[in-house]
Amino acid sequence: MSLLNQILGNSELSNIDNRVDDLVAKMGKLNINEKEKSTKNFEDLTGDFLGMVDDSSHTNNSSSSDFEKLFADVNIPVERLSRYSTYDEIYKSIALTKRVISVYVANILSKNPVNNKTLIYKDINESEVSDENKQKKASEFCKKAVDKFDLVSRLKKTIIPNRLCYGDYFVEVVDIEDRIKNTNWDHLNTSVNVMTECNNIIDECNKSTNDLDRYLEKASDFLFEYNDVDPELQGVISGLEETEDPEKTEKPSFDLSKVLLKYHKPHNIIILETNYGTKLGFLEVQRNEDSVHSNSISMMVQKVTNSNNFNSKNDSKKNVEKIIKYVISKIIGRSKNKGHNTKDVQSILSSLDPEVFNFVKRMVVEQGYDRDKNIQTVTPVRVRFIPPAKMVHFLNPGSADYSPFSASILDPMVLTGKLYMLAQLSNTVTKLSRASLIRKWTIDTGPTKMTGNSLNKLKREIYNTRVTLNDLGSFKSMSKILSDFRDVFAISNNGRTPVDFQIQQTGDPNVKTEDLRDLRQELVSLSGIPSPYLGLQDTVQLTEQLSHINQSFAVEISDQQENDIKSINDLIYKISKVAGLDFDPTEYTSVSLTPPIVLVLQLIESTLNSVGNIAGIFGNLQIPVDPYYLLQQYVPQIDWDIFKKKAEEYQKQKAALSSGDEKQQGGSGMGW
Amino acid sequence: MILEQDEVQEQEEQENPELEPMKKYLLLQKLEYLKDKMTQNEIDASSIDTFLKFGKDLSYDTIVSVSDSILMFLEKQFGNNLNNQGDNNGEE
Repeated sequence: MSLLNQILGNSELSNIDNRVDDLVAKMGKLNINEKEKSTKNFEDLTGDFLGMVDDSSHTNNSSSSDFEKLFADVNIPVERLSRYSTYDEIYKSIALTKRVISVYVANILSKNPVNNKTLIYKDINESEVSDENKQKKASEFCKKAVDKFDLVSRLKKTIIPNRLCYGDYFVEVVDIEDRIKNTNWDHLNTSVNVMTECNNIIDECNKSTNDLDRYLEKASDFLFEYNDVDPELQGVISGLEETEDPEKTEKPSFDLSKVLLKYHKPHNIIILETNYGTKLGFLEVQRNEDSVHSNSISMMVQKVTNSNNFNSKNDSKKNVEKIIKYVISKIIGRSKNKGHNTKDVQSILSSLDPEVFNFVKRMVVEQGYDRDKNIQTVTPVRVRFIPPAKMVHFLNPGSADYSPFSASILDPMVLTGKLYMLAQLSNTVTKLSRASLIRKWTIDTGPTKMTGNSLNKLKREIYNTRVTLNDLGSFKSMSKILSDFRDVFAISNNGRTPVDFQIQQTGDPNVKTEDLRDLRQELVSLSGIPSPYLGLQDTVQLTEQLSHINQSFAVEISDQQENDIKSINDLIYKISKVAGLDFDPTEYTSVSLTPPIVLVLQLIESTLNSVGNIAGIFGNLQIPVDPYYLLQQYVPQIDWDIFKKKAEEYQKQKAALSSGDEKQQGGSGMGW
Repeated sequence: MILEQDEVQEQEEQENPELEPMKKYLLLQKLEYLKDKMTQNEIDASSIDTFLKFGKDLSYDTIVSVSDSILMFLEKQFGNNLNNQGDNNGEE
């Protein structure tokens, strides 16, 4: 109630005043409820609840400790990890599977050859009430989001291949602003822990390689030279921070720089789903990479067949991590040394270029430094809850064998793949062993008699020329593999030997390869890809049968695409929510993938044939039938109404043209 | 006692007839505010709009009685809507 109302002291007036206020408050309630109803489903709400618990853990550690305790013993099930490592093994060891994955990726993300684009932005016309302004905004947002996060190449390089290989892939949408609010910058700035940790890393680097540190120094100096600029420019930069806001209001109503996408392989993720299918959220579990690599026989085989050195890979990864940590520490260190003793966010803001600040925010959130606990220990949190509203799940269609996770496309190929691998290996080994000759060495000890030592040395030298299974892994030893033989030593004295050997061929050097061929064919059929796509000759010769195979592949591809399109749109919707767009862009514009056009055309062609036959049969039976009705029912890929319209127009045009020609001809005739 | 207070208030009101335009102004402003909020929330406010157009020419008492009935109607409507929503949520 306003002051004037009070002064006037009128009961009627104040009564109406209060009632209006009540009504407005109720309106707000109505509005919120409606909004929630329209934008959130049940899963989001449960996620919000758990998310609230998660959020509270940022600010209040003591209250959330119970919730955190629940996570203490959470681990990724070993069976699932071993399943993934089996897929890895199959993928790395059988070249055919690599081709299978690449064929799938190329067909799912097929490019439009005319405009060279992979994604199609479709305006949704269903909601006729939709205003054009929003539609424009939505399509602009979709395009910008795709460009900003480089979604096409992400899809091609990580999301789809990983989804195909492991069955699932996850993309988390993180709100940087939200996370950074919860970051204790004072702590980050003053705490020696980050610095000491970084110093430790630098010391380590010094121990291992002196060059690396020098390189890092140089790189960070080069990258962050801006800190040495004069204070006047500092003022300008801090001014920029303030003047940024009015610019933002002029710009479109979203800010994509607030959004960070975190890509998760399914190895680190647990889906929290009840027995009845309610998704509560996701857990990200940090794993110790080294523990996963168990020393199984398969791993040894992999080592033999794979020329990559795993250790070097891990080392390079660690180095990259070190560099990132170093750079962050450098930035924080620099901003600390600038002489700003007031340890608030603003001081850091003013000492950094806005671009760099954004970069730092990204880094801090990405590396998991945004929680107090982490800063103290510098190790990223072990288990983290992610609400479903912040996570997008890319999953393979079909098979509910591993629900809520889905099966890899390599899953049906596991046993056959292993057999194929073994057959290949055993064939090679058999071939080599059967081809081996016995190398007979006769060593004459001579009149002076060789000593035992020098005799052993000679033997060792000769032994070293042997080929072992490990040699199969590297190309360098290829020449050795081509000449595998067994060594036998006979020592003679004065031309006499105590034992003698005769060289003999050990069995038939030819190996039967039918097994291999059968297994390969089985692999191809299990992959779901027609063999010509994999560069193999097809046993089917009839074109009709071939087109049937193509059609089934087209169906498979569009099945795969359907899930991806759903997930991409979900991702865009979730990005839009974080970016601050005030409506759901996917209601106005949908992002979709190019369908397998050629394959779909083949499908239409053969369906048309069948429909034509059916129509013919109806004609024979003298049953009246509207061919368009039949087509509409059984060839839904084509919009027959438009087709009809265009056909009529074409007929009219044609008739008009032909009548014009006739007239001309008639006119010229008259002339004669 | 209560009766006495009411009497006093009535007396006060009768005593200050020059305050009436100000009260009228305040009331109309409040109704304007309600209309804005309703349009913001995409609720039909055409009846209030029409009323406000003629509001200046009406006496304070008439405005009070009409706005009272409008508010009663709206309160009833919102009450029903909120109840319905509650029921729907419960069913889900």
